[in-house]
Amino acid sequence: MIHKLAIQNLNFGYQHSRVLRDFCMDVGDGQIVSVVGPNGSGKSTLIKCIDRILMPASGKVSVDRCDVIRMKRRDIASRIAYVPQNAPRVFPNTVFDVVLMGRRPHLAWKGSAKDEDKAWEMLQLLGIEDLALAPFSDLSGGQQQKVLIARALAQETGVILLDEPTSNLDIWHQIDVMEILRRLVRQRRLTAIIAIHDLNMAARYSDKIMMMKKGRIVARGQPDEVMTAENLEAVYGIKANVRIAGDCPFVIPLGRVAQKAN
Amino acid sequence: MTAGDESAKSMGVEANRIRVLVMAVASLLVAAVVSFIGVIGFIGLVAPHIGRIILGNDHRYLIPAAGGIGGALLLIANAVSMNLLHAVVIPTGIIMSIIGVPLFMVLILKGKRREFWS
Repeated sequence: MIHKLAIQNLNFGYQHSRVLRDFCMDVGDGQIVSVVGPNGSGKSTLIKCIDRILMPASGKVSVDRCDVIRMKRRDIASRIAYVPQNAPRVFPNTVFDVVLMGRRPHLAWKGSAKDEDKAWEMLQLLGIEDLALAPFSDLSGGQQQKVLIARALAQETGVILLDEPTSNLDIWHQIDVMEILRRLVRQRRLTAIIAIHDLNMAARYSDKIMMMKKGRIVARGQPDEVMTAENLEAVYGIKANVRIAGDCPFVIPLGRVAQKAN
Repeated sequence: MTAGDESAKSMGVEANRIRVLVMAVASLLVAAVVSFIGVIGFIGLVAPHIGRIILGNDHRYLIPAAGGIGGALLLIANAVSMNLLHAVVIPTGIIMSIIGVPLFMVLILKGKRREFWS
């Protein structure tokens, strides 16, 4: 199998703590990979290191066999797109402008009609073309999330990274966003890496799950291999009942283990 | 600045490098201009905002237009300052402030409704 994205021995630390320790992972294309783990386990940091928003201390990240660490920022942007958890906004832009910004790695000084067509296409794909001229900052959390996904798609990359895409959304919008993602990943053979807290969402929509604790992978594999009562106890320190419904596991938390496993 | 550093980087902009570059160039330009003609307030505040009302958010057009509008405003202020009183030339900076302050107030008050940011 050809790996779309390969990570070898990645290390990263903020000033006082090491966050990622010798992190390794390979991902093929056409997959949704969810990264789950407790707060502070390094999910978001991992995502930012892959896109070199944070510079890893050592290790190697490669996309299409090219080394991300040594690539130009613009070249990275034409291969990897990133959907932030939320985007701060000072000056209000229209939704269309926000999506058009995603074309930036492909244009020089002036955008062309083709870029505008792409932006429209992505808005239509996510079913938000009626919002195109609304100010981004006036939208609800779910709509903003969709706009940011549209922006990332307009970048037309093989890899798309999402940092907690469902954290601010109600259940309908969570499912909506995940369904859209799954459809796009299948249709366009994308590779999506999602940092996510909701274990049931992760189990339902992922092809693979990585469970992280303290910067290391504790378990990886198909959702039903990873979502086990033993893993949940070891990683989260909770007692949980895991049942299989259809062919995907879902987690019923029962309570925490008396002493949180450090 | 409008999208945040992380987003900027993910779209292929070297945010830190560009910020330092732009600030260095801007301070050099401002230093050069001020040392030639002295301090004139409020143009820098008002002109870009007027440009934004007229042209919207596309900075490829907005930045040169702000320069043009600033120049035009200053010319008007200068013409007024030389012709308002006989024999006395009122400093241009004062006239500019008289024009600029009310304009700026209007912009702030309207800004709450954000109508001028297209």
